[in-house]
Amino acid sequence: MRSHRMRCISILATALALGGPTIALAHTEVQSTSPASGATAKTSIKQVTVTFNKALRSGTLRVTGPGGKVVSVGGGRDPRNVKRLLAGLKGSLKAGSYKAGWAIVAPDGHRQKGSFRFKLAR
Amino acid sequence: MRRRRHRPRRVLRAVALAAVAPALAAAPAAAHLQVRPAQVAPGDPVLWSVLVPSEEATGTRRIELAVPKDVLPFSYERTPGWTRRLRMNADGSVRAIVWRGRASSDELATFRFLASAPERAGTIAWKALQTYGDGSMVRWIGSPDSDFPASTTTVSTSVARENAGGEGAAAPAPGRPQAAAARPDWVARGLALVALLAVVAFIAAVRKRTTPYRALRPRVEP
Repeated sequence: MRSHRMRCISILATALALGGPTIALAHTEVQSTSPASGATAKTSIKQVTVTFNKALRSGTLRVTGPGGKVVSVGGGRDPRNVKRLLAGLKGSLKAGSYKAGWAIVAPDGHRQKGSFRFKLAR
Repeated sequence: MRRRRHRPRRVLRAVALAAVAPALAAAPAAAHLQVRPAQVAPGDPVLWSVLVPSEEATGTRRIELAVPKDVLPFSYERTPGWTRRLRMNADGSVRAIVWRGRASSDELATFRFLASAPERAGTIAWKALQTYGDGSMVRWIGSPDSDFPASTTTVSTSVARENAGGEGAAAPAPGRPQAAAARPDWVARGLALVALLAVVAFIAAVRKRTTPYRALRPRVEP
């Protein structure tokens, strides 16, 4: 009886495996960020960047500081690098913990989101 | 069931083709380098085809296609007998695609690739250089009414999305039936699964019922 049940399960599993959709998404990956994720940079930095391994169709980049305050200005695709997001930072930043959140649309229409944290010190 | 559901779509397609036919007839008849499709939706991942007829007796040896601004190629089909090289812009985007190979005087060379269309509506021009076996070059860079026009594509929000190589389903577009066929039929798949489960349940039930009877059957001693 047990072998019969196993056979049923294996038949079902095979049917699902053969009939299921084949998923092959061309994902875009983060290659590097500035500042690096988890790193400590100076409060005098002027910009934050996220560089990917492939070209971006469009994207946004937003940096929030202590207390969730938005400190970035005009975060989008870097006009000088089609694989990079660039956000300018406001002046006189406080020391503390910061978070950069990004969203991109790949040329194939795939949407991705992500974030990383870094610290600023004087 | 399925056939009936598709009939109105087929009629729609025929009507759309009839509407487009005069425009197709008006296209230049001479053997021109052409990039298709002629119309795309903004930001849509599109399967582009470059049609390269050879007119000169020496045949085509090299094609350089300039990629219009804001067109982002991401996947290229291999054309047998031809090699491909990319020329890049300073910002890392593709400036031109160069194919080298051999097509004789009456041969058509076709090249296909996936690229997202510009997000802004308007017209883009595909400038191309075609080099023949004797070293002569035809520059397909002129205006549409010139002798050697650059192929153009209109980017418009009124065009159905193709979503070639992208995520999710493509919108049903006239003249592109293959996109609809690629979609998985979840209803059919669900019904198949239900049928499979029913068969399994039936076998289990029959087995359970036959077992006691088998036990009652008189055993024949050897």
